[in-house]
Amino acid sequence: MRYLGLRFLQSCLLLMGVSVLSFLFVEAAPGNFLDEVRLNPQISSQTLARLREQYGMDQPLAARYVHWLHSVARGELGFSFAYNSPVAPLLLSRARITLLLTGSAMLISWLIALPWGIVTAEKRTGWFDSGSSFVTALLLATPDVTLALGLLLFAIRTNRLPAGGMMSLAAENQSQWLQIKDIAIHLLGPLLVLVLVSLPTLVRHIRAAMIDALESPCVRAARAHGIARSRILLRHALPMASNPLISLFGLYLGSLLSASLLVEVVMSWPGLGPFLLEAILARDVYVIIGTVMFASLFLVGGMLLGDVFLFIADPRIRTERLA
Amino acid sequence: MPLADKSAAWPVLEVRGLCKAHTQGRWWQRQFQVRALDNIDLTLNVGSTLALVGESGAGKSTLAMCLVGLLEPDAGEIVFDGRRLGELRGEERATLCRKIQLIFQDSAGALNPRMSAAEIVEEPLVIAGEESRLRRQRALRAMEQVGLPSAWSNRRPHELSGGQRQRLAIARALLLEPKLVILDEVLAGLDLSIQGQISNLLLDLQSEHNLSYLCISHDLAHVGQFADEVAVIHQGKITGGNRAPQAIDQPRERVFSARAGAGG
Repeated sequence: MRYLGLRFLQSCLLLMGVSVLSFLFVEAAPGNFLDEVRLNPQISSQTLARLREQYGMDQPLAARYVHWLHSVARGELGFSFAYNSPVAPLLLSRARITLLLTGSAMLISWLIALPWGIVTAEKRTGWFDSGSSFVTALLLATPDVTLALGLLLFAIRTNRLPAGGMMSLAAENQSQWLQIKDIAIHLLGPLLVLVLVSLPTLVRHIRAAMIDALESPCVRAARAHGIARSRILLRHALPMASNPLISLFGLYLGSLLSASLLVEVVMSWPGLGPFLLEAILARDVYVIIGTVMFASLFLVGGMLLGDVFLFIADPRIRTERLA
Repeated sequence: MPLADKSAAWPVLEVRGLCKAHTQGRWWQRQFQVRALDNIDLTLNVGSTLALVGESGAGKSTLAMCLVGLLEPDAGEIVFDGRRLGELRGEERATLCRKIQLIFQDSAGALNPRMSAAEIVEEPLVIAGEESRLRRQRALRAMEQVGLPSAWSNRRPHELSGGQRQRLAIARALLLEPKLVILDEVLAGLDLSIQGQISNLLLDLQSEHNLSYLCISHDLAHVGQFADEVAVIHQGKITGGNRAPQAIDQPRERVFSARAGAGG
């Protein structure tokens, strides 16, 4: 408990650091939300001054930061100038859509990568492993945007997949089941891109961790004692390979909100990606800071969860930390 | 400690003309073969101890791996308990191979760090399909037999000392009631008093279960004290056949002279 408490405290301090840096970077960027409004000749300088005062832009950075901290304590995460509403509810509705995409992509990626990595490690000198190395290297070398654009081109040329969005207009008045089906069809494209992007890294990590485990003296000893191959794989090698994989899982969990931003923008998935891009273009600072904080919260939470899993899974870490 | 009567001994293990070569270099590199075992002949009698002494890289561990079936020899035959291992396949071979147990030098690495002491010891019985309660009882008995209290059954390997871990490895090997135990540098890395304790334990177990030991070491001082015979291996070849330990009073010199002889 003491270990977990300490890790929690570290995470809170890290988040504080991220929030301060976010404020400093956004402040250092040129321009603000009212710059475009100022170009409109119909808006008087008095109105502009009133808006500046209303949005708190006339206050020093420290005062704005304290004000923002108060709004975080109220669960609002600041105020969006563009939407004229607190940031948190705006973020939450988009984060749900992003999580639907990244969560299913992560689940599918791990479900495919685990057996794939294990089989390539087990048969590491065979043709399957060579073929797998080639495919994963090819996927690693292909940028996310190229994959997303390629799939978009496929969707437009063949009409087999929707070219963007989350739901067709026609599906809005239909039954719940048909709506779910429609969302699933729209999900396919960005999901496929995300799975193809994350698969090669995962497969290679799992393969490397499994090879290390399979070549360990402990597995050699188990083989010498006549333990069955399947038991060696599941009871010895996989648990031994799990430490780096649990850490990787924590990182993946942490990047759930940020992993798909680019793919969402390219494939018009209405999640956090397009929302953040709009906010950056409009200089809607609290939305930017809120999104960064939300993504950081997920990252820190994911790593914390990874640490907890490691703590549970490895008796050596338990003994070391409890000592 | 009195040893079992070896006057009417018959060979539990006979190795005839065993060869094993390792290919080095990847497919895009120049490949060459290293002869790890070159026409090895060995005989080990029931209830006796043969020490196989040689420097690092001489082929001792390769021979051990071939004997337990972790490596397939290129040529030659291994006759264990009157049966040719090379002629056996599948479950029949696996069952016979379980009667040859190998204990490694690196006990810390050879024991799964995530398993408790009892789980480690009882694991070979899982494949024998024994019921879990009975399995645990036998594991605890084996632990007590090697001097580990059954109250330590939930301890993990990292919570035990080097000597205790080696005892645990011995308990695991004993559980399948082996006829031949290969001790691969089991005393290396332990301090003198622990070496003495483990040696005594091995001798006690040998006389109790009529075990045969193939004791692999790079140092005759480690194994000479309880070996009945010694064979010196150099560059994959046995030089001079089986001899009494007293015949090799200065092992290092003998190993070097054997090397000079082989080289010449």
